[in-house]
Amino acid sequence: MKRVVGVVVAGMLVAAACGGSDDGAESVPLGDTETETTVEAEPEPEPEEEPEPEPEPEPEPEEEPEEGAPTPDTLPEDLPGADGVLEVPAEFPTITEAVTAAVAGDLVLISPGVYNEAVDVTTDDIVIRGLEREGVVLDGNFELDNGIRVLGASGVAVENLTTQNYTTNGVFFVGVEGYRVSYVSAYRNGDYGIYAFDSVKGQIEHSYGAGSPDAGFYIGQCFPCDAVLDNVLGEHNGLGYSGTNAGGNLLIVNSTFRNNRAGIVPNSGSYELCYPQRQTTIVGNTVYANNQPDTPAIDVALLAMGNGILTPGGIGNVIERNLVFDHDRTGIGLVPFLEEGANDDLPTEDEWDTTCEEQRAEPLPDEVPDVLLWESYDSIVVDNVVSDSRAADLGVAGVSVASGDLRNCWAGNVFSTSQPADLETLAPCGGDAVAGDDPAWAVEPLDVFAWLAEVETRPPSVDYQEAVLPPLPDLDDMPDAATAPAVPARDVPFVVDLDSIGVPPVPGE
Amino acid sequence: MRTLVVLTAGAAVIAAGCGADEEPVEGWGPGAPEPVVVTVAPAPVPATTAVPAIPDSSGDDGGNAAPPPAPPVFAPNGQTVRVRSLDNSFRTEVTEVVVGTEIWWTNDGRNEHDVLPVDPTQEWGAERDVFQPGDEYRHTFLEPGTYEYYCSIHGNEVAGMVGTIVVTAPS
Repeated sequence: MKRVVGVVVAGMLVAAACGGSDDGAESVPLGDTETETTVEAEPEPEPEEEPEPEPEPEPEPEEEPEEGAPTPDTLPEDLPGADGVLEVPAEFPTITEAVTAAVAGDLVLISPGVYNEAVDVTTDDIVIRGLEREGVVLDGNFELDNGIRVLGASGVAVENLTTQNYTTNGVFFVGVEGYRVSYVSAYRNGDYGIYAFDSVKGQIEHSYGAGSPDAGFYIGQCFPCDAVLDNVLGEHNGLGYSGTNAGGNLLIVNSTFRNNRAGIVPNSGSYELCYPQRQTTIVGNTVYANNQPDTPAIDVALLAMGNGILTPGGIGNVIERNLVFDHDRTGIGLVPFLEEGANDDLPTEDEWDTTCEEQRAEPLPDEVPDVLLWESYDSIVVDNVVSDSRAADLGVAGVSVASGDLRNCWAGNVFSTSQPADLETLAPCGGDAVAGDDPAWAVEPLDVFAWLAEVETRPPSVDYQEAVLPPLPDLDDMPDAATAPAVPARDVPFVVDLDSIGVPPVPGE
Repeated sequence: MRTLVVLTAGAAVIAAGCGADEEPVEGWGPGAPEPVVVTVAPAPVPATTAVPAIPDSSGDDGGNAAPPPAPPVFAPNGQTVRVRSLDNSFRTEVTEVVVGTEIWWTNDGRNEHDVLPVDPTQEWGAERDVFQPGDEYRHTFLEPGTYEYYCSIHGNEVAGMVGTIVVTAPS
């Protein structure tokens, strides 16, 4: 891996967040909610030969059953969960006991109530569902770590409930293949609301995350991730969406991020594996008013504050048909990320396609730079509607590499301002970019150094336990929660027809 | 994810890192001292203490056979190997060292972590309050063996953020 070229003079933008994107605006054939089955005509059975009659065996003497012992007439239907549905608290007093007893394919069905539990899931293919989204509440009382933590168990789905007041995360997946979160509200949790780390093949949909200092939603350390965030709402977090070193078939679509410090922020960093961040597709989202001064916020969120969609050190992201407005800095900004205390060297361009597994197996270099500067390359910003940005609706900045040499492009956006000026002329998608050393790139440059200088003046973070949050919004419950069959998270993520997604309407219109 | 933000009013390289000034040495360096082998003999048994009979392999109801010798305990060898705690993994996940080598864990991530032995009877490790971002923990294993550990925040004994130290006897 090549060493960092040069060191930034003056302040450097240290920004970070989490997230990823995919190149190409086309449908992603990743899976389907409906399983198609093709029944083939059975072949004509061959005529069976008449078997030779066997002597009948001597019947064994019947054993007298022990007194009180169960009989075939009473087993196993009377056992709790025998029908594949483990009811809490009717059959199991706690969610944890039900989850412990569950086997693959089971449904843990939770009645309304408040459950002061930290649920660890290590069984594959179980579904955990609340009968009422707002009525079923997992509450950590600011003492428990995670509402539901899924460790290495694949195919787990969490549905239709609320997790709140946990010291780290509302719902947390680690090291899984196949995960789903549907109709879940994560409220006032100490790190992330809904968090998938080192996990692939995921679906997060119809869910809500608010009041977390890091992010409402996070997908990190995966490439390719094969994951979809669809129809989620993130508000009053440090970052609405964050995704360090995540991408590759990763879609963020049809979602709203508002009133966070910053909206959608995928970034690169060597403090997680699978760097750099690349190939997240961000389409059809509503991102507005991410200047919120009174949220909980990690330092990164303070630095990124005032931006709608920001890609610090992100590579090859696709940002299309989003509605972005009302930001103190940029609506859509492609910026560098300065990482202090690096753990590895910058990957070379020919290493950008290295998968997580390949990178995990690589030994650490003998020498590691103290500082890494991740630049944002090769991203496409197309057909967005961006307005009311106090610095620039569209922006790009390079530090160790000239802005014009980063190979990003813009086209078809509805916007008023850009930094540098005339970005769609300088680097049009599908056209010839102006050379990176052309003076035109220096006209009204995006001043990321000022962001560093200003961070000390940002409104400080508010303790997540005390932050003023809007009340839980009235969000949809899962349809037919009481009767819908359990569907483990195996055929995920669901197919998204990206071409059918348009720019969302202005909220309220 | 969290990142450490160091702002400079003027120019500067933002330099820091977790223990970046120390240079860990992997394995045996030139001129490294030979390991000192210390065999801990069992304590003598007072004459008044009853010692339960230990059946010998011959099947005789013998007298009081001597207990097996304790495993050898080695001394520190002055070498150090670093394990970086990232968000949320230990790198390298499996670290092999010669007995007597110090393991130097550094929290180089942005999240808090802990380092807990899978075998709860083992007395080493670092709780989260002393393993915050930028913190470090050091331990020298003086007996060969395989020592598994994990971060309880981002894993459990078998999944998620786990690691193994394989301690081998010197050749």
